[in-house]
Amino acid sequence: MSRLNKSTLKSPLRLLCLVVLYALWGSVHADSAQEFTVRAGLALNFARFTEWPDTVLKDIDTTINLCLLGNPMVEEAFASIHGKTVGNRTLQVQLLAHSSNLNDCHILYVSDLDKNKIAVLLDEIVNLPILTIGEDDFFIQRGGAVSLEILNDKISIKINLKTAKQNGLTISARVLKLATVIQ
Amino acid sequence: MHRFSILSMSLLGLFVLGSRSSLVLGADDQQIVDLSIEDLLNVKVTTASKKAQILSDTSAAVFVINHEDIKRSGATSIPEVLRLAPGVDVARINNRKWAVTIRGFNGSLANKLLVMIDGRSVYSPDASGVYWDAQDVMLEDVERIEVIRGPGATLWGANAVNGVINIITQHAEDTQGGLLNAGGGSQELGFGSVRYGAKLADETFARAYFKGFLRDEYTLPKNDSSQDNWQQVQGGFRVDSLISTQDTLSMQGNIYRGEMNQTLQSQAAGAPFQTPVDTSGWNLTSRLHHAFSSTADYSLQFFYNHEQRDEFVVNNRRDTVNIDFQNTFSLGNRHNVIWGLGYRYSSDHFEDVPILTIKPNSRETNLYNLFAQDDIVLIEKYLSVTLGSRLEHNDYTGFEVQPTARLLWTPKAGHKAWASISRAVRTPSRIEDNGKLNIRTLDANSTQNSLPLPLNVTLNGNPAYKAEQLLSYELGYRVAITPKASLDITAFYNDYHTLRSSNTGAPSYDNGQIEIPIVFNNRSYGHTYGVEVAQVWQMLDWWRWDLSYGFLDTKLYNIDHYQAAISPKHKVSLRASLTPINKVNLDFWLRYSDAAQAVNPLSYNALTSTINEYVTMDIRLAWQAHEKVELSITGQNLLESGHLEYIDESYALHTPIQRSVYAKVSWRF
Repeated sequence: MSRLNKSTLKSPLRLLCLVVLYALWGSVHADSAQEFTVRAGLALNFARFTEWPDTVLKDIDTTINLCLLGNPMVEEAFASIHGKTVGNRTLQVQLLAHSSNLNDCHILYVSDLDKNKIAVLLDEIVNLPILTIGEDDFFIQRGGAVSLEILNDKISIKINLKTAKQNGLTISARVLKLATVIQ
Repeated sequence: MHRFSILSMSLLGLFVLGSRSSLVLGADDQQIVDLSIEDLLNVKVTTASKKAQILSDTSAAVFVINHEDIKRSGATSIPEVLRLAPGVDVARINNRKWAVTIRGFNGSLANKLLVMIDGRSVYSPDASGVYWDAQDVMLEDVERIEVIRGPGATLWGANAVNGVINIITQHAEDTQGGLLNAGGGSQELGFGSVRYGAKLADETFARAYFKGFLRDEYTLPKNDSSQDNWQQVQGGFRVDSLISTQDTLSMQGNIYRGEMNQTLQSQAAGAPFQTPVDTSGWNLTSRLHHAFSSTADYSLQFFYNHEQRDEFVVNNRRDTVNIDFQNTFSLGNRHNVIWGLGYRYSSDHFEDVPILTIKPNSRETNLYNLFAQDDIVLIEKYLSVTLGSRLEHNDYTGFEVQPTARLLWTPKAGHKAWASISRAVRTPSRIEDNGKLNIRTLDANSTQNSLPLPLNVTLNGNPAYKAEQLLSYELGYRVAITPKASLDITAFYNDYHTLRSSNTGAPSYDNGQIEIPIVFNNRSYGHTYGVEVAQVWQMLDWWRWDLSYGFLDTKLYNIDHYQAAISPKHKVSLRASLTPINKVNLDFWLRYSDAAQAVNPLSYNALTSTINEYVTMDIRLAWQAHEKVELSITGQNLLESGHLEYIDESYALHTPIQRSVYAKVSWRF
């Protein structure tokens, strides 16, 4: 440590101290949120404003299962909606290591998956009563039900109503009027 | 233990306490997800936070440097970017040379770290190591850099002994439109790059780039020039296409040419002198990815790499062709299998240079490999085990087996604990097998040589040279302390055998000189142990802390004739990333490195020299002046006019790494 000249440390550290003071004193207000927290919030709303066929979500069922596929980092953000109540049920979030266990999923959130994998996956689950949520146009074009895309730093919703209907799902008009609906 | 390390430990403690208190602060994630759908659509989103990156599902010590980190670091080269990752020992030797390693054994050709750029190995078998002065990418197009500490030989093959670095560039679809960067400063005299991405057809995207830079020579302590200036140009392209529902095809290529100067100080060649370095090369990579189903796929990758290097200490060219096939599939609900096979052909040619002769001058080598790994779920959601092994055949040492066993335990949500045992080998280099290096000539009747004849000391390759072997034991724990803070701790014990050493052979008389041959052997062995800690704390929405600390202890035996470098015991990096006002980013980056031992080819008595500890700091200020324009100014190594970081074992003059400043404009169009 003797080699280190104390005065050389001073000016950059002084700048850092100033910023620390600024942080302590100022109350810079953030009107922004982490992307995946907002996505998780929207997924929760889809759980609340979607109706599944009675055969899939029976009266005795106490959970709605939201499965995550693709980027494992999404799991952390979605932990904030795990256990939330949806009507008289609770939302269960689970990360699928691979898509072998899709049968239990009511909602499937797909993040960051290769395009050919998305295409193959959507072909495999076509007509199953799963609300599929993706993150781009390609997802909707290939038969996904919902896509949450970033437009001008905000998230916008696209819904493929035909796919949703084919899969036996009813999405509330309250959501539809906020979304771009593709027939 | 040094004062700075104590400081870093206290900081770590503060972080843990601080992030615990932010349990309360963490509540705002809860508030956000409870917003109405109308409100959610009105929230401005910031892209994925860093905290997630040290929380992945792997049973290995993985750290991811992402696109945003690279930008905010202000770094202008790959080795400088790697300083962001915990456990990576980056030491700059001079303008164009770096020593980069993980878990010890550093050097300008550190041989236990495998580096890949988009699946193409850039580890050279010439002297076993990476020529960092020939590895460049357009940093703005890098999606992420995965830094895996510890052996990765089962998946990535030989020489992934102490770690693997995967540099992954963005998909062409994510780099659409134009980007122009230009800047300059005191050390970075001038640099520029341009990239343009376009959609060629439905689901077919492409980009092309061109970049160049001019770096000023460093100044020596007595204000002498070190004459190590460097200029380089590089260009390339990438095309990504969805060619059918099930298949994606990627093709990419790069071409570069570098012109450098360096000052050499070899005993064999006399007094220090200036000499040029010319590098050039090109490469092509193509990758076909086929999805059989959502749980099964295969990929077929091909690359061709040509590289050429003309400098005083080595003059050679090398061509490499590599083909890899990989297949993954699920077996029932419990098994996820990956297996693959590969072949590599490499052809080289060395011209004799005064300091190094390689016999035979040209050689062709073949490498075959086969590997398989199974991820097995033992208890759903709690416990899984990974078992795998690789069988490889190389022309130097024949068959090598590199197995791994890993256990991943999820005690509760947000917590992961893992343990592993793995074996990896470092295969011999061309020089260790066939080289002859003139180390020094001792004049007749001099202080070092009382004989009436000159003594020529040479270092010689040994055809019986074996692979260096590692058995590594690792333990790791990752925890999301709160949604805004996470901690990653890894401990390891590495047991090395058949490490490089040397013995003195029988002297011989030739041409008026006596030659004393030193011959490579594998008699050295030893162990290292250490701890690596990475912590991220999003203290405020606009203020994030990144702290990393590495401890490493190295013990080597039987190194009488051949000394190995000893890496710093303590290394600390502390970053503060702030957005104090809208559209302004401010980054502070403080780094500490403990004293290290570097191999010094010039010293007579001890074979290594001590590099003093140092503390340094970078600051970057960036302003998004317009939706498409960012202006930034970066100051590097600000605390001192210069500090020494390392000594080159291959004779290039080391220089103090100087304080420097540069400004940069980025324009998207």
